Amino acid sequence: MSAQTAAPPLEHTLDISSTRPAPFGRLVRTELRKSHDTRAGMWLLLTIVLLTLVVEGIALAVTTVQDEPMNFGDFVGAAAFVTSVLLPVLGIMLVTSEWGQRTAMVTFALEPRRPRVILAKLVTGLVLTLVTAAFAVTVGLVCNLLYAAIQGQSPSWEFGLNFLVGFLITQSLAMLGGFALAALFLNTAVAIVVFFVYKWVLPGLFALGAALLGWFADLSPWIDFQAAQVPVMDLSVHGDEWGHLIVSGLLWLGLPLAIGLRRVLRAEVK
Amino acid sequence: MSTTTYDHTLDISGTAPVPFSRLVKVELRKMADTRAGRWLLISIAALTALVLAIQLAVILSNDLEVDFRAFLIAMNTPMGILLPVLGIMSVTSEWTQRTAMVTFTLEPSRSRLVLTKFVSTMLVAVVAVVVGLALSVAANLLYGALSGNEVLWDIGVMDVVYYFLLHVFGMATGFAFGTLFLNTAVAIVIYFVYSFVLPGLFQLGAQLIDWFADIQPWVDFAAAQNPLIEGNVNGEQWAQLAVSGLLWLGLPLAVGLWRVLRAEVK
Repeated sequence: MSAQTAAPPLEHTLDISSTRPAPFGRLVRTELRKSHDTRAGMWLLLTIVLLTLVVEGIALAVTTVQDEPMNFGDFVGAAAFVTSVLLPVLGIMLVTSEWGQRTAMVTFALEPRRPRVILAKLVTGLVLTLVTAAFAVTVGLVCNLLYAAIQGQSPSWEFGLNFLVGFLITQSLAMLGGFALAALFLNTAVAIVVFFVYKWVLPGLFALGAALLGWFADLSPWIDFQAAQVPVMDLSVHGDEWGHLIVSGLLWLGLPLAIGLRRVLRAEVK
Repeated sequence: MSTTTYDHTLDISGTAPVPFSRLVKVELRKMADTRAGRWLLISIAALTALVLAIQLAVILSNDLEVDFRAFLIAMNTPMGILLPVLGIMSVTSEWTQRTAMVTFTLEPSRSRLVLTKFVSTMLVAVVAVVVGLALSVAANLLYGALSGNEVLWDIGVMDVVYYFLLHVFGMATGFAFGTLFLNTAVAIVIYFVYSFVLPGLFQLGAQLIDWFADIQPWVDFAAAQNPLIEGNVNGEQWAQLAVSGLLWLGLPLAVGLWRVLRAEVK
């Protein structure tokens, strides 16, 4: 500021050698709180809940009016449709909001070990995925009971343990897909656009390419991660399908996550 | 800081207000001179060229016979996805990057500014379609030269007009969603759900419920735009386009404009 006072000798140093580092559990708790105590985060979680209820309500109304046979799995599937769209957005926002809203500076100042922060965010994303999945299953259960009560028949519980585990895995993979793209781009808008193009536009292009080109039809199962996840839904993956799942997963999940993590660990925080 | 008496007032009564053309020029520059905006524009052009190149390669290697319309439809896909995002960001980036304060201070007439933004996004949409058409023409000429087949230009003036309309609608819908939510992430997510998820749900509903099958063409804006792509719109389809357009473009735009004109700038 001014040259008239010489810098005072630093007699007191800040001794933090006996301060214990922030435990991982506290980091996860902080990240969990961050996911719902901002307006954007709160509305995203509320939207997931409300949209799931609306879709289930419509599904229930339509199927009872039309006398369509429905079982537990169908109702959970309808809820899964909604959550599979919005969970990746949650995964994206967990990462990018720090960079978009410039809170990364505070976060990394309070916990300078960036890998731990990223890991805490990843755990938070998985916890929220589990909670969402539990919510979807509960709503599906209530709807199934309501459907049976309205139709005057005993409820059909065709939804085995395999489907439940498969459901949890595919939902987690969806969230991780968003997380990986977010780490890669560190920008909410870009990550969301690329994710939706990957989710809705690419399968059509893959199908078109496979129909037109012989060599692409052979290649496409190995690079189409979404098609490779289909057998995961009922845990019937076998033989070649494991290979498809691993190779395409490495391409769409492993690669962006690896580059993205490197980027987050080294990026200048502005 | 010494206390002085303020005997000089700032007289701006003789300063001419900012002309509309200058506002448009500024808004156009804003779309291209930030990193997000520039990359979005580059992505649109590059992706369109890439899609056309892949299409051309597939057609040539399979000896398929195509006409100009096939290239137009291919060009339509990347532009249809990314132009609305540009429309969204032209509005929302002011609010999320907090430049709205500066913008509204330099030009306090918000309605003029919103109109400016709308005009400049429309200009970009028109330029994008011109670039897209040029790329499609190049692809079709290359196809003719490389395959030796006859080059077919089977489209009329109306088809070109329809393509401009299509992307003006897309851009305007993105713009409307942007003003409605004033938040990039929310507007993009809702826009993609509207353009990718909703058409499927509408079809499912129309198959299952009879009364919904009757109203579906009147509320499904995406389906109502299909005749534009095919280049053949009849009277009833124009009416369906107008009604569903009012619902998905007019209504969000009206609510959004009301919001922009009144929102507190933070």
